[in-house]
Amino acid sequence: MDRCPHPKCSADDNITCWQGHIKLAYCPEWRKVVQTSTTAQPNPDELAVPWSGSALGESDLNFISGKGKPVTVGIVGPESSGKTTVLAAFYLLLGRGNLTSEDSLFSNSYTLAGWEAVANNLRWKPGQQAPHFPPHTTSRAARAPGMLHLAFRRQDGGLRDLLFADAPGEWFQKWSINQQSSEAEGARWIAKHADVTLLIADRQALAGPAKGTARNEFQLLAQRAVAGSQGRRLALVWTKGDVEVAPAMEAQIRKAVGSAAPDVPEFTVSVFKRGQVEAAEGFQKLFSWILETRRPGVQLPTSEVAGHDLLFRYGRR
Amino acid sequence: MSSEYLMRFLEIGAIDLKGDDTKLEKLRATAKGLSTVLKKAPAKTVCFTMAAADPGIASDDPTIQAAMTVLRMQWETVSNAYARPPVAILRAILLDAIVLAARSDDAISVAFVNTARNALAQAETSDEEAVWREAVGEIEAKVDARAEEEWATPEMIEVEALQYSPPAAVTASFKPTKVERSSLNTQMHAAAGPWGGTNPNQYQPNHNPQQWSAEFASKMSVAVAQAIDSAVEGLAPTPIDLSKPLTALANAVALHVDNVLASFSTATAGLQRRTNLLWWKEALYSTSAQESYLDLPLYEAASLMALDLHEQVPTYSPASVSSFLKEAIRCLPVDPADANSDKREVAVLVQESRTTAFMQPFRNLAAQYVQAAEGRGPLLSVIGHPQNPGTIDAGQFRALVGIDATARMTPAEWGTYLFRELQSARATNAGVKRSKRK
Repeated sequence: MDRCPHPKCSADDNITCWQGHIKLAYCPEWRKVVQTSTTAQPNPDELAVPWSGSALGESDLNFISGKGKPVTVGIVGPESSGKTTVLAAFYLLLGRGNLTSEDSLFSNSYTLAGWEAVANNLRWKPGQQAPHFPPHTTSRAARAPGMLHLAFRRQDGGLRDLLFADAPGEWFQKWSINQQSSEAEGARWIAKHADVTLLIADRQALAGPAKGTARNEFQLLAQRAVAGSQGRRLALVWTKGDVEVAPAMEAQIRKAVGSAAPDVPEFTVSVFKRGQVEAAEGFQKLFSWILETRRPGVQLPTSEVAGHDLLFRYGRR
Repeated sequence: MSSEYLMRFLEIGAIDLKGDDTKLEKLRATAKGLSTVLKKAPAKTVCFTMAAADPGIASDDPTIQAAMTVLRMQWETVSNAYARPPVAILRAILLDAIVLAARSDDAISVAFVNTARNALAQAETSDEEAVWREAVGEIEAKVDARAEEEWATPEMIEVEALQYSPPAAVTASFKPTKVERSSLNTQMHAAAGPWGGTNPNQYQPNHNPQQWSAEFASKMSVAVAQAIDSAVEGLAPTPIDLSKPLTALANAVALHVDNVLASFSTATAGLQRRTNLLWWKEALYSTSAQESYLDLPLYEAASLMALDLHEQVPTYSPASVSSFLKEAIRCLPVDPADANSDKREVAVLVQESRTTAFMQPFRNLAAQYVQAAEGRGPLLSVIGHPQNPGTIDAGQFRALVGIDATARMTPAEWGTYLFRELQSARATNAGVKRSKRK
């Protein structure tokens, strides 16, 4: 298959044209490279769709966000802190029907293949080795992070789209050190667009031999993430919740988040059962908190006025 | 400049069109087309703004559908390029179109600013705040400038000088006359003695000097008097016509007085409006209902205050007038025994407004201003056309007015919401005659 000359079109990737031409032969851009296709009769049984099912890139996002900006969830944490595991756990629990309620029923997803790729390692497959944690998410060359999509139908009939950013920890580490770093473009995108930020605190790292470094990294990242969230929803998520962490360390982590943004909710998740607490419970609580997200309305300030006339200044800031 | 809001709105909504000029041009052309539609029918401003301000607007809303039709003319395959109808893109286009139209039309500006202030608070728009703040700020500055002109009270009234140029100097025509010498000569000769010609002096001067001198004096005085009379008669001036310059002067003075009075009344109109506003707030008395607001139930009083104030102030009023109304409503006493007095459900308030006899004048005015609701539009459409007085269900309520049926408002919020709707509706319905209420 030839490549479409349009820089943003992925029509050669077995999905439809980005300008919406169902038959590529009708697209003026496509015809520039494929002269013969105008005469070729496409097989009527073959129908290309405008999405591939994989995680969405920055330009693929237009396909979903054309209707309205989805609630974007940024999972911010250093590498190997369990970000991808949180996503995989969401997907698997959703598949078992453990995350939805009558208030919001699962409706659709345009990235099922992407979800499957994330969760694949956590699936138990007969005859193979036991499920294990997902491998390291590499720092890809693409500028924006891969986005995983879910849509839920609310009780009032409205659809609510959710996007989960599946981004590598390196981005956030570079971003925490230098906000303007050219390698932190993806992290900046998440900080700018995320309606919900999950700040990941890796209990294993905070209890391990390099706990001092892990704490410093977290503090730096937390500072940046809280500043970037600008009053939008932010939660502190303890991953690997089965690992014990010194209370003094826990207090320092809470202080790092709480000093800039008080009343930040906390969630603890683990893929293992913790005492009486089922593994699913932590993820369920976190997910229902995410689903509750509603953007508030705007109270516009009154416009600025010059002069001393009280009538025109009345009621203004 | 024209694409500024379009691009920024799309960017905030995670829609990236950078580097795709073909698509951007299509969207820009659509915005331009819609702004032309709006200029021709300013009454659509309210619906356009309400659709643009709500991310949750249904894709089958008539305004969204109309915008989609215009977009399809530019971009035939648009439906296939998006998972669902591209409401976010249409909203960006609508906002751009409204701002384009509002820049050249003050009535559209008033309706946009008032409606946006109402609608944005009810929708999930916090992520778009920066764009809305800038767009509303830009247009509101324009509206406020015009309102300031109408509400200003200058310390001095400047009056232009009298426009009158005096007419050119009139030269009276004068022809010097000469005494008719020959006839005077004849008469004097006749007076001198009996040898004179016609009608001579019959006395000789040397024989009857006494009689001669009497006769001479008599004849000479007649002759000289006649000569003088005829000379004077020739000196009689031609009459000069002053009516034209005097009429010009009268007209100039009348125009000048008119101008002086106009500047004076412009200066005092602002003062009069302010005084009326203060009287109204201090008296808390409804001239239309001839009753004190203090004696009315809280929310009824708030609605009536919105209506009364709307009738009192002109279309171009500063934004602080809404604040004034808010403060006035907050002056009303709250019944501590009434649990619903601080906030009440909007759906209940609307339902009461549709049915109670008290709101009849409000409904009449609303019905004149707006048509019955077809899609997203103002509360006035729902209140003014209560053909089916049954309760509107929650889903339909949200679709029609953009407010959650469970949303609650304080009396001040309710009053200012209605006031802004009335102001928007009147601004874009200049042709509608205002009702004269008793």
